[in-house]
Amino acid sequence: MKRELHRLLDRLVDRLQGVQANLRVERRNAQAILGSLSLGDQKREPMRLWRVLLWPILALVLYQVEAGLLGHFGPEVVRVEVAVIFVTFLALHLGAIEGALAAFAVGYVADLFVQGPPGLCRFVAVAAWTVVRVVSARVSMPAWFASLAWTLGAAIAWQAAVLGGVGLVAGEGNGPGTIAWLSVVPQALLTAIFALPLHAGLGRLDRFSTRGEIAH
Amino acid sequence: MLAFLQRYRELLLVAALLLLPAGTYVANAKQGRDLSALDKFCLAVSAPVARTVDGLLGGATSLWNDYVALRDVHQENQRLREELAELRGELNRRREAALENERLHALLGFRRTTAGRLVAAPVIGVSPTHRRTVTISRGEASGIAEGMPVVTADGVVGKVVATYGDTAEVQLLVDSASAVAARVQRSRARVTVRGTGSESSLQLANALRTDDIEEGDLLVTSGTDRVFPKGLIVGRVGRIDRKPYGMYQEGEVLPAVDVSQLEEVLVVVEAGRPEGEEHQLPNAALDGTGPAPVVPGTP
Repeated sequence: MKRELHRLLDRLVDRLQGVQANLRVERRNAQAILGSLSLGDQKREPMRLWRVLLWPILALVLYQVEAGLLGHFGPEVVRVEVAVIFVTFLALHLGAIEGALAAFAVGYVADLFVQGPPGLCRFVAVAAWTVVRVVSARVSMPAWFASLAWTLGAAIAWQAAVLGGVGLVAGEGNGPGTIAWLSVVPQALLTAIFALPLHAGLGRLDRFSTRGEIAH
Repeated sequence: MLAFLQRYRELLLVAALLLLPAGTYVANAKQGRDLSALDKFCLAVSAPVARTVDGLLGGATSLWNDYVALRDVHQENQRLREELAELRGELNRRREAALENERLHALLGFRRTTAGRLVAAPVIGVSPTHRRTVTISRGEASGIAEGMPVVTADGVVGKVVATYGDTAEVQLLVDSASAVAARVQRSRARVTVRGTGSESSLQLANALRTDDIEEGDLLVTSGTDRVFPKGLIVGRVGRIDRKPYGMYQEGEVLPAVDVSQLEEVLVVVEAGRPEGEEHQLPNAALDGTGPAPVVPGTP
């Protein structure tokens, strides 16, 4: 059993380092060890601090843009969950260490704006990043559809987790109301729709920053 | 150990990034959220973005509301002004029609209760000179001749002094050259009412000092001047000047008809009542509570 566990951990490390997954072999092994935790086929990008900071800064700017929009049009407008768009992008397109750290930082930014219990959004961000990264490696689909589908699922899970997390620590009658729960699906749909152009833009920025790094 | 960390660094990092906020959440769940220095810094640095967006949207909204959305307002304003003018004209026409209807209704009522033949005529002109005359749009062709009395439902207006085919000139009672024989309705005292040139007052003349005349008495035509039929309202006694000496008393009479607002009149072409008979007019122009005016009898 100890040997099997080491094999599993080694494979996980391989995935995080960008080694191609042999799904057929893994699937066979997974049945033997209660499933695999392969993190899938990922880019072989070295972790660079400035790129880790780039995504939360962008998220911070977009959150502030959204805050400006909501301030002007009123809070009743259905919001876009900016953090989810970034987390799914990080999970689908970036390296493991860079992506995990950036997801944590994006979660920190979300914590600033959600104003819920500290650490809630950070935890949910890293958890969502991990799930999307692990599961997406096993599903093949077009890039645009992956953005749409993963963002939609992640947005629903994100909001449910955040509302649940806030509700857990809120006093009697102070938790999220019915309207907040009813807005989960429309908000997730809007977030998924916005993810398409945003993921394309973030992808271009990612490629540009990579080439810039190489040029140096 | 180092090799283990090196080997599983990604897994350990993810685990740490999950445990760290989870621990923070559990530890601080029941406490109020206090922003750290880093939190405040991040929000302070990025806050101008929100303000800029809000300002841009506010400017765009203002631009839209103040200029773009008002682009068609000028045309709409012009259209509404035209509509307003049209509606005002229509309203005015309706008011005029209602007023005319009232006047004609009164004239019709007067005519129905009056014997003889009356010819209705609109006033189409007012003399621009010092003479108080008006021109009516009926003349010889309608059987109108000089000397015929002219009345309204309110009372005596004057008499025809000239005819010109389809028009006639009417000398108003208020003209300074005009006079009418009258009688105090209450005491039956005979008097003469003369015009003064003023539209608002007549002169009470030839009233014996011993006659019973009081302020407010109604004056009606006596028919003795052979011009005006008997019983038409002339006016109401205003001020009485009864001196302790002399043969007559003088006074002021308030005319029954406001000649400045004449628009339609009736010309008594042929009177048909026997002398001495008086009839109640349908309209008490001078006193809404008093007895109704009197219709003309025979001259």
